Amino acid sequence: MICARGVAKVYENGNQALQDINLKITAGELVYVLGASGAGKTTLLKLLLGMEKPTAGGLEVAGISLVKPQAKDIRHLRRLTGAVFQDFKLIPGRTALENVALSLRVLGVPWSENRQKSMAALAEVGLTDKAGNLVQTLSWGERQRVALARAVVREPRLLLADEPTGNLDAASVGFVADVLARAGDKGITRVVATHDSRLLERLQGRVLVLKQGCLQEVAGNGWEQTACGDKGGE
Amino acid sequence: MFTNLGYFLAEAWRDARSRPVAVIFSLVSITLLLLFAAFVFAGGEEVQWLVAQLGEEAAVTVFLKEDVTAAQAEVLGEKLQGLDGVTAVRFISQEEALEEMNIVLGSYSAELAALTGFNPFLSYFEVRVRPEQGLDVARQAEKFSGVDGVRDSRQTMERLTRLSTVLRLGALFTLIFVGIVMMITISHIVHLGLMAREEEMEIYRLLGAGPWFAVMPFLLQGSLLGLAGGLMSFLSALLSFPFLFSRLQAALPFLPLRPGVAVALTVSPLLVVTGLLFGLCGSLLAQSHSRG
Repeated sequence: MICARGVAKVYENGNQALQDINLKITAGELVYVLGASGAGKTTLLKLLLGMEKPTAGGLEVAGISLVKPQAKDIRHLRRLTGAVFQDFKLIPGRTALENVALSLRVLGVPWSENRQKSMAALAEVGLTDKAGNLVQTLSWGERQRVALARAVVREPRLLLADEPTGNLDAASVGFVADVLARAGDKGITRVVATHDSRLLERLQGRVLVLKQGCLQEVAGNGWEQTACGDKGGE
Repeated sequence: MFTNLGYFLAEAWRDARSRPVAVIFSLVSITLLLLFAAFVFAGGEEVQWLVAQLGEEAAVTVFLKEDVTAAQAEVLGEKLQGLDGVTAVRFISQEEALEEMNIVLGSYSAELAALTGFNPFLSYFEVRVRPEQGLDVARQAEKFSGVDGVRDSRQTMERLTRLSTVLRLGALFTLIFVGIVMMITISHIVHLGLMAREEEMEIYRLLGAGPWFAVMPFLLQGSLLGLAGGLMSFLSALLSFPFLFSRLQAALPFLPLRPGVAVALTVSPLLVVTGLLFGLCGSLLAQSHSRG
């Protein structure tokens, strides 16, 4: 599903966010990316969503090369992906339901089906009773769960989540873990940037550690410093 | 795209509601601009209609000398009837001519009679002709004895045709001018909307929305704004034209003007289509400007 070879990212201000990232993630895997603030977790997720381009190396997600992608490739990738952003990226002035439904509107899903699926997604994160509330009236934790519902409602092939439990209490972390587990059951590949040990305790997955832009430490199986294509997976 | 049409319309409405003063101001401006164009265009249309009316009524008026007797007049009538291109001949006596003028002038006719003290009109033949042969008929009629003079309506028609062309050209330029001002007005209001929702549009893109998804509400908004302006200017024309044309008819009683409602209905498609078209163009302009 994801294949990175020697990926580096240097921002225009000279900040080296990532360097020599070699990574292979197979379909259906759950991968945690750990690291302190500024370690490069968000940058890695941005690269995977086509929000940034690598300055060196090769990166392929769902068969789409992200080194010099065309706009339609990026759009295609994003339609295959569900993303939870650190700052949620919810649209103020809209209800929780409208925000979740937007994910399917973009895909052209008819409203009756969209509403049904969106309500189910909100139920999955425990927010059925908040469906009609404007997002700015929700707590940070609730907003985070709305963002998660928006990401999973389209049943993506890839789920990217940037600190999805950052603002949540223990009970809500359980909701998120359950959602991630169910996504796994559906064969969705999940990449979660976090430093929340509660989540790792609730749900086992492969763990990568980013430190100052380098993947330095790996826990679990599957990580190899090999060229892409040497090993199975998409 | 059609799956989300309702959503796009709702978003367009939502955005308009968030800036009611600006939207209402734009709507009023567009309505006034289009109404101005409607006045000019209606003028051109009306003159064109007059020309057509006069064309249908192409006639040569043959005035008789005062000393022509009834028998001579009858002979002259037969001669006129025999000319090529003549379709009908009608004799109008001095009395009938005065009667007709009384109808046209209404209360003023009494004043005219008081001033002159006698019937100032000549007897005449109203000779209906095929328009293309009107000039020949007039030339031949002039040579008949007992004829005082001949008036050919073609000159008037030619002048009216020229006036109509000038008015129609003026209307075209007015329409272009109005369209450009409309485009700028609508593009400005749409651009404000696009700026205000820049972050929202970025979210659409992150969700994989195509380039049209984010801008479609604004394209609809601009188009609907133009359409609403067109409809409002049509309604304004429908209300104001009957009043204006009745005044005009009173001032120019000898011209066969159409009722104001008929003129308003004639210009209505132009107003609505212009509103819609330039509304859409204004939205596209705003969108391209935002991209830039």
